[in-house]
Order: sequence, then C-alpha cells, then structure tokens
Amino acid sequence: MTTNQATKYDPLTYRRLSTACFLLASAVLFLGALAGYLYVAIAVYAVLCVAGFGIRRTADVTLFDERDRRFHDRASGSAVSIVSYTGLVSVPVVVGLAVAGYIPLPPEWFGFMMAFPALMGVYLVAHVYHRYR
Amino acid sequence: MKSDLRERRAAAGESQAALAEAVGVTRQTINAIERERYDPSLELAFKLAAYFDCRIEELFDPTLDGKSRANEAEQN
Repeated sequence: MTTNQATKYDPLTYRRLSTACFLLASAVLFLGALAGYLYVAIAVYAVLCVAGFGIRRTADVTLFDERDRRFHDRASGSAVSIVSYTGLVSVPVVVGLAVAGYIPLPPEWFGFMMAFPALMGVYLVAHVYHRYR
Repeated sequence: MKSDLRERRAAAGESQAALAEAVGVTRQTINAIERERYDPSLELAFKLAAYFDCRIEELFDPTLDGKSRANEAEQN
C-alpha cells in the first residue's frame, strides 16, 4: 500500500472511507425508510454524509484530482443522456398505451413524468451557467 | 498519448506517489498517464514538464491524425 510520506496516511484509505460513508448513508436511508424508521434513517443519513464530506475536507492529501473530475463529468453526462433518451421514448409510449386502455398508468409514473422535466430544467440551468460564466 | 514519463521519473529516482504529490494529483493518475490510459490536461502537462525541466513536446508524444500545414506543404 502506497503511503504519503508527508502525511503518513494513504490517500486511498481516505477515499475509501469517504465513499463508504456515502454508500452506508444511502443504504441506511433506503432500509430505514422501508422499515418505517424514516426520521431515524434521515438523521443517520445526515450524520454519515457530514462524516463523508468532513473526511474529504479535512484530509491533507489530494483525494480527487482532474482525472476523477473528468470521470465524474462524463458519468454525469452519460446519466443525463440515458435518462433523457429513455424518457423521450418511454413517456409518450406509456401515456399513449394508457390512454388507449391497454395498460394501467401507475401513480409512480406521474412521479417520473414530473421528475423528468425537472431534471431537464436543472440540466439547462447548469449548461447555461457553465457556458456563460 | 505516449510519454516517457515513467523513464524520466525512474531516472530521477522518484516514486509515483512523490511525483503525484509534487504536481497535485493522485498516484492513480500518474500511473494512468504512464500506462497511456489517461491524457493529462494542459495544466497538468505543463506542471509535469516543469517538474522535469523539459518542454511538453519532449515529455509527451501525441499521435495526431489530422493534417498540418507542414504536411500540406510537403504534399504540394
């Protein structure tokens, strides 16, 4: 294991700890909500997220560099593209089939139809911000 | 992008971790550059060139597929 001689701590350890905090936070929130302990789950989720960010802020070594940011940017772009193209095709198809009476329209679908334009709106704002700043 | 970063680093007796700390990136990034799995940004390329006291063109060797004025002049 490579160690940073200046700080005597392995940057990879910091990254793994921070990532573990966020993964655990997500798991706790999901499972806690399922189990009916939503408020407890949210509180634990918040604490773990603060811990995860705290590790990143207080670590005196480089944890995430330009390569990580490039991966993040590409992954974010791919995620938006996948959701966009999926919604572009699926929403009209599902709504059309539901109106024609072939399939029922579950209530969860309305949530997706609201979230989809909201995501596009956030993307548009972010795009304009980065383009004209 | 090809580079002789590994050779220069070895000649300088530096570890990947030490070089990474010197230029402000992670050891994994230095490893990826040496394995030609990652092309550094212009800023990082300048930092690496400055670290080894050489020019960017001496450190990195991009394979350019596009035309250049020199190539067009030779063909004409």
